[in-house]
Amino acid sequence: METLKNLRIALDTGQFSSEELVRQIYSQLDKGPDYNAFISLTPELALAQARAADQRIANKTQGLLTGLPIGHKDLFCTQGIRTTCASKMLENFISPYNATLVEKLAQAGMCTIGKMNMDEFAMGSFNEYSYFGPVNNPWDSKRAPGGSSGGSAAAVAGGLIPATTGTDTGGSIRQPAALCGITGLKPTYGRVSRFGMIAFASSLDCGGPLARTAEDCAMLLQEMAGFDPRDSTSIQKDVPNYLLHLDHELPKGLKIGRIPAFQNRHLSQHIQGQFDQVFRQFEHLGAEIIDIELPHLDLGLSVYYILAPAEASSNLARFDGIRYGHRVKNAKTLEELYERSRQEGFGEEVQRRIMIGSFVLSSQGYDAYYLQAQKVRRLIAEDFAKAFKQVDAIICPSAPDIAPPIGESKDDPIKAYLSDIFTLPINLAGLPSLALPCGFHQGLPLGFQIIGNAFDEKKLLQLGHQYQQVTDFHLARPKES
Amino acid sequence: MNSMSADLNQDRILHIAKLSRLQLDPEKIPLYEKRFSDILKLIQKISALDTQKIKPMKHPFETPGFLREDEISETPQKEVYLKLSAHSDEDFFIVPKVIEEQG
Repeated sequence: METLKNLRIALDTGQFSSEELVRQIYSQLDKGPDYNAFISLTPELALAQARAADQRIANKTQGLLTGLPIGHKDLFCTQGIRTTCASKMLENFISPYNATLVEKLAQAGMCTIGKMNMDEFAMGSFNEYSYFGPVNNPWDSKRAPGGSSGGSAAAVAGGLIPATTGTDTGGSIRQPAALCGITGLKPTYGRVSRFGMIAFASSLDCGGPLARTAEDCAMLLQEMAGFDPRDSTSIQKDVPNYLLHLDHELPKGLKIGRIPAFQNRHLSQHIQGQFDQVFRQFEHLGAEIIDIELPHLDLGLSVYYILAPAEASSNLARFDGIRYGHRVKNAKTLEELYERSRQEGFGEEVQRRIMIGSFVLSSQGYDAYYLQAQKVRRLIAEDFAKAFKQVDAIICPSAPDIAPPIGESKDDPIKAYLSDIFTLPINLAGLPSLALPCGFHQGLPLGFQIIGNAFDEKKLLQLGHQYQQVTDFHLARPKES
Repeated sequence: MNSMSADLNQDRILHIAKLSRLQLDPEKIPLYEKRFSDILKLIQKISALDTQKIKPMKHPFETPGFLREDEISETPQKEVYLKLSAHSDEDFFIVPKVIEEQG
């Protein structure tokens, strides 16, 4: 599958129509491996959108994304199409409205190919906690694609689709992007509307794009970003032209931070070399590499596994079996209706996180855990704020190791939690971060991230694009695809 | 600090499940005890830090939330939302009886 950029050129020069492109995608899905990346396919909608897009192209009124295919993570509400969150709880839920992000990309003329598999309610690091089964990593089908946006990442890596949407609460775009060898952007908190994005942890959740290149991510962010009066945490700030300076060389005197102590503590020994190479590449591109220290980063994992479950336990209280979602039969009392509907509807990891959340918010846990975690969250955010007085961007790995075999960490949740050690501090601070592929170990992809100050997406995309001009990891394809 | 893992027992697990409105399979309680004590060990790492002077951070950007003008923007679609329920009639969501008759 070509990049969005190349598909744009092909559509605009009449090499093929959007309808032909969409039909070709479904016919490939019919024949080849699908990695269990999709929960639902939506050919009727996609073909109608493609025909409308072809009209716009014929009339020369197309935009940047008109006629290009997209898959949405199955926690973005889609009107008239079921939105499951990969949960039995929402197995038959059909949303009466579109998420703002879905609406914006549809208005831009994109064609919705389907809804992507994920960890149930976005809680998981390897896409093993889906009610619809695990997703296979296209680089090795016995391995996990990462999570929670595992279907979104695997579909792009496997060449099924040029781009998808995902969400990132603690690394759920960047970590699977790394394990699948693709590019993914977690925008600044509030840059992309959360309206219609089924909530996991409201102070951390961010929607964003997954694609082959930084340039494609820029094209998608251009249409996804912006203020939304329906999301009270959405930021009222102009959306810059993310594509305008992508081709420019790195600004003179650009300083990139490296966090050697943190990186060495958590990165697998055998892949350290590939990351040294990333810093060398940026030196060649003209950046100065500066070693920095963010003393509280190691505590990010503990803070995250207090705050995210706390917010989740509150958000998921809405699933009561009454107004929508799974409802148990023959409940005799209201309490029984709640308790049994939730027990049947939620999977193991979701129940575990709701319970952790209830505990840290309870009278026994509130001061010692919840309040303490919010204070340490501030220390982490302040670490970043201090760092950005010294440097323009920070680079560190996106994941501590290559993709693990499917099922390896199911009996050890803590081990799975550790795979987000590099990504989740960025969510706590609300900052943007672009994940890019940077090499291979044992034939499996590795990825790093460029972290920016708030609303620095444009700079990150430019740095990522420049890196991808002098490297070819983003062009590599798994053998099967 | 009162260490949770030290006195994490079956009753505490059942209490947390009750707070969470989750019916627990009794057979799974030992597994929950094990998992919880692992997770508590992880999250207790922040307890040693002196944070007396630090203000809690609730949100990445602590600007006041956006408030829109009080104007009518869309009409309620009662029938659409009632249809999403497994059990409703024209005007209500139906639930098991809550108020008991006095004997």
